[in-house]
Amino acid sequence: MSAEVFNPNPTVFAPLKAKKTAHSYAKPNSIWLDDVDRADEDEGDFDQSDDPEAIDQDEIFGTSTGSLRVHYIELTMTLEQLAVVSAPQITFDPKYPDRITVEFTPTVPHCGMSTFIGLSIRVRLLRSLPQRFKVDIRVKPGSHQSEHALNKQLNDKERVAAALENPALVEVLEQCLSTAGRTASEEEA
Amino acid sequence: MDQDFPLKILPVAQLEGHEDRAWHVAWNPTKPILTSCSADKNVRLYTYSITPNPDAPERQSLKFAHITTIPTGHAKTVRALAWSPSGNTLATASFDSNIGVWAQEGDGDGDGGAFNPAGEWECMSLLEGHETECKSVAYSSSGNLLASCSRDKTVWIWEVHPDHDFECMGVLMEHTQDVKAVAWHPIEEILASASYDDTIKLYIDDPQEDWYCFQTLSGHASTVWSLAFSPDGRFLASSSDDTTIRIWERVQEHKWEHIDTLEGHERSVYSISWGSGKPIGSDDAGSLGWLASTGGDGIINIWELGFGPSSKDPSRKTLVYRIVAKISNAHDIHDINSVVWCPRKGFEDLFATAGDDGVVKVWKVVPS
Repeated sequence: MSAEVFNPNPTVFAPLKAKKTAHSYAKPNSIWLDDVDRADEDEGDFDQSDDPEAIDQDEIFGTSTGSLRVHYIELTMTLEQLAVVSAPQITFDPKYPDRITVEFTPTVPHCGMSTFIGLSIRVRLLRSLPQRFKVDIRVKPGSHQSEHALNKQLNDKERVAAALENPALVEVLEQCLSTAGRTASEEEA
Repeated sequence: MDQDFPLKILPVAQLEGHEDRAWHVAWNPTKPILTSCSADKNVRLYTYSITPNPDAPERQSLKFAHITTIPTGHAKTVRALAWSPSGNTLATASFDSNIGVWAQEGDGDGDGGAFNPAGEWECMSLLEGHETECKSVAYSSSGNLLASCSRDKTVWIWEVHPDHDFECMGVLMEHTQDVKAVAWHPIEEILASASYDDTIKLYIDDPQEDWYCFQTLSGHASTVWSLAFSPDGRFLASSSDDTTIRIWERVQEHKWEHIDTLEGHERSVYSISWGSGKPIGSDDAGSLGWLASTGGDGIINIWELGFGPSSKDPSRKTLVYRIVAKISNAHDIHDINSVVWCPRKGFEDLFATAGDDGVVKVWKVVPS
């Protein structure tokens, strides 16, 4: 990773209060609720789940993408705090509920970490979502100078597969993913 | 069940065993062997045999059996495979940036001893040169040339010498991005390459000079994933992340033109294969065979292609095509990375697929 500072003064957003209590479908045995405890264990368990449980954008956001951390300057912030991802940016294909598009917004149009952020979102979803989901990741239109190149790279399965065989990249990725699953309120506690 | 088509696709075999995503399958052109490769770095070999049914000859059954696994020693994913036309040598393209060349001892150039594919396969040569992941490898129809391509944007052409010796004849640096696939013309020494830069390049050897690109085919709106020449060599098909398949016609010796675009997929079309097929009716004049296509939508389409009088202007000939068979969720929920027709005589209706579920499946196209 380059030490270059792309945005020396990022706006930090207060995390929304966890909404999961509001979800009537979030049963105690939800595959998501025990995610926190099991994050350090074999996450492959989730891959086996074919439970066709309804999953909505808040749920994907809350436990999967919003809590991903990036090391930014000396600070470590979650993607939610940086408003890089938000629940409304996760949309479902109306024809196929298992096809999801996750949009993210780089903090500045020349953000050099965008590929890495997109890759970490992809890997997090690969590990946490049931296998039946097909995920497209895109930067918010107009939010990045290399929007087309970023979108193309993040959705090329061969490039993603090769990246995940790169030990140096995976090491940084694992640091970013190590806190995934924790909500912001848990972090503060 | 899918809607009414004149043909249907029947499952023949489900071959499990890879521990990770299966990327590619390759049929041995001369012997009853099917091979597959995977992110688990292994190559698996299967044999198949026909069990005749004397009462109903058309209902003979095919049995597939795993015979051996080559632990390739590649440090990363084995992405693609290619058998030499002789069927004696197998090439592997790996994300570790190398091409492996595999054969059995004593089976090199002569026909020494009985063929025993279950025996040991040795790495006879390791072709180094690419800087990053190799994505595809292909033997020319004569078996004298081998082409490889990589994320390093280059295509390498190797001359095959006796005793598994290879000489690099050219490094083609025409593409501006990753090269996803290479394919040789079925008769002549014309090479095609497909790229992440959305284009296809065509190359020939100048006897006085080196290999050079004589044409760039543009039109796809995104990455070109796969290439397939028609069996007669007059057409080239390309498949893309833009979800379409484009058909290009050879209009002059060194000139190819886009003639039609086939739309039948919802996500990236990762793989296409063009076989001679088995004619449905008695009228197979102008038939160009069957094109199989598959990809991220998990659908397998079988297209019947022909070259005949245009419906608008019968004095002109044009490409005629239709989907004659289709199957959805062929690897359950998973992406399908590869589809390949069996090249052996008598097996023109047989093809294999490899999926993200690590499974290899064999299918047969039969009348509905």
